[in-house]
Amino acid sequence: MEAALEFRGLVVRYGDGVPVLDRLDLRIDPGERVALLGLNGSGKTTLLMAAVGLVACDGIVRVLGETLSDRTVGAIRRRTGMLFNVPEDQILLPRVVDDVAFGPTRRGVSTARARSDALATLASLGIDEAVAAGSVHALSHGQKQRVALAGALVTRPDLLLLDEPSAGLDPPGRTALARLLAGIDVTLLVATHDTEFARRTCSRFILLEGGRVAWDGADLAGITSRWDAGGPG
Amino acid sequence: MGAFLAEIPGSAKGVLTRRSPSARIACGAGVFVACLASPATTLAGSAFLLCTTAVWASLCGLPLRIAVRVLGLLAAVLLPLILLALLPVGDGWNLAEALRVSWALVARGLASTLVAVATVAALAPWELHEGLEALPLPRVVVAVLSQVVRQADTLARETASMTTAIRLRGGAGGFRAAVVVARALPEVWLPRVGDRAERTARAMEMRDFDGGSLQRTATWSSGDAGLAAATMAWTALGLVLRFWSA
Ligand SMILES: Nc1ncnc2c1ncn2[C@@H]1O[C@H](COP(=O)(O)OP(=O)(O)OP(=O)(O)O)[C@@H](O)[C@H]1O
Ligand SMILES: [Mg+2]
Repeated sequence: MEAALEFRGLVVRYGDGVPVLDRLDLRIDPGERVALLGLNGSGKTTLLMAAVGLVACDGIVRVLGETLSDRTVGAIRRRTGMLFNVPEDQILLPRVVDDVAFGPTRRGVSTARARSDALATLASLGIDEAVAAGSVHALSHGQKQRVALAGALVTRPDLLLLDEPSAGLDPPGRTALARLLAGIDVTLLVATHDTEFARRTCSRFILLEGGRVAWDGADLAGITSRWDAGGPG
Repeated sequence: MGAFLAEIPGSAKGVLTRRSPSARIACGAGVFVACLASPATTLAGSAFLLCTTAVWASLCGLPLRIAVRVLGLLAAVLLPLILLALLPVGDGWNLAEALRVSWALVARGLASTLVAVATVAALAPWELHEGLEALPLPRVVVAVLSQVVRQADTLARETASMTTAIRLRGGAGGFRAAVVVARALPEVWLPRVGDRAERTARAMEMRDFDGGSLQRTATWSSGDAGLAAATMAWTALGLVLRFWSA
C-alpha cells in the first residue's frame, strides 16, 4: 500500500545550526490518526512544514503517492489541510466567511457554493452566521483557532496536518473538535502537548527527540511514563 | 496610535460608500494623483488642492475627529522638514523661494494624505480586498497589496496592545512609556514583524494565495462610471493647471 505520508532520511536545519530533524524516518498509512509529541523545540512544527515543502530539507518526502518536488508541491498542498501554530498567520482575508471560502474558490468552486460550504464548516466548529459575517479582528483567540481550522477542513483534504489544534479551545470546544475529527475520513497528523486530546483523536503516538522518532506505538502511556520518569527535558 | 490607525477603515459613511468598492479605490487613486500632479505654488493650484481635498473628504464622509487627528500627526512630521527648508544655505538663498518650496511640500503632503485617508475610511476592510480583486490588476499585486494592508492593520493592533503591556508592566505612562517602546522597537518589535512576515508568507504559499487568477466580476454601475469620468476630468484639470503655471 502507498503511504499517505512518508519521510526517509529527513534532515532539516535552520541556517548553519545543528539539524533540528536528523535523518528521521517515518511512515503513516492512509486513514491513520497519529499524534506527534515532544518537548518544546523538538521539531514537531518543523516536521509538519517539511511535509508540504515549507522548509528546505534533505531526504525523501512522499505525500499522497507523490514525491515532494517543485513540480508536485502545488498538487500536494491542494490535497492537504494545514493548521498553523498561530492562527492569525493563516487568516488572510478580513472577513471570516470570505477567508474560509477562499480555499474552495481557489479550487474552482462557485462563489455561492464556496460561501455555503464555508458557513456549514464554520457552524460545525461552533461559529454562527453573525460571527462569520464579521471582521476577523473581532474574534477571540479560540475563535480564530476555529476559523483557521474551518479554512483547513472546508476543502475536504486527504491529509490533515494540525499544529496544536486544541490550544486555546475551551473544554467543550476540544470535545467538539475531537468528535468532528473522528467523523471525517482523513489521514491525520497532529502535533500537540495535549495528551488528553491526543488520546481522544489518535490511535498511534510518536515521540520526537533528538531529531528522530524516539518512540512509536499505540500506547500513549509509553510516552507519558517516560516523561514522568524524568526523561530528557 | 496603533489603535487609531486601526479605527480608520470603514469609519466614513458618506455618499461615496454607495459606489462599488473598486470604483471607490480607482477614483481615490485618481484624486490622489490629481493632488500630486497639481501645482501647489500658484494661487490657482492651492485653491485646486484645497477644493479637491474638501470635496473628496466630504464625499467620503471622513469623520472630522479623524481628519483633525491626521492633520495633527502630519504637522508633527512636516514641521521639522519645513524648518529645515527655511534654513539659510548658500549665497542664492532667499526667503520667498524657501517659503514657496515649503508651502508646496506642506500643501501636497496634506492634501494627498487626507485624500488617501478619506478613501481608506470609506472602505470597510473586506471592501478593500473585494475592490482590489475587481480591478484589472495582476493577481500578485492584489495579493501583496491586500496582505500589506491586512498585516499593517494587525500590526497596528499588536503595537497598541504591546504599548499597553509595557505601560502595565513598567508602571510608566505617557511620555516615559513612549520612550520605553521606542527603545524596545529595534530589539523586540522589528524581529517580531520579520517573523510574522515569514510565517504569513508560508501560509500564503500553503493556501495558494497569490497563484493563478480568480474569476473577476468588475461590473460598474452608471454611477460608478460617472464618478470615474468626473475623477478623470478633475485630474486632467490638475494637470492643465500644472502645465499652465509652468
Ligand atoms: N525560523 C527559525 N529559525 C531558526 N531556528 C528555528 C526556526 N524555527 C524553529 N527553529 C528551531 O528549530 C527547533 C524546532 O522548532 P519547532 O518549532 O519545530 O519545535 P516544536 O517541537 O514545534 O516546539 P513547540 O512545542 O514549542 O511548538 C527549535 O530549537 C527552534 O529554535
Ligand atoms: Mg511547534
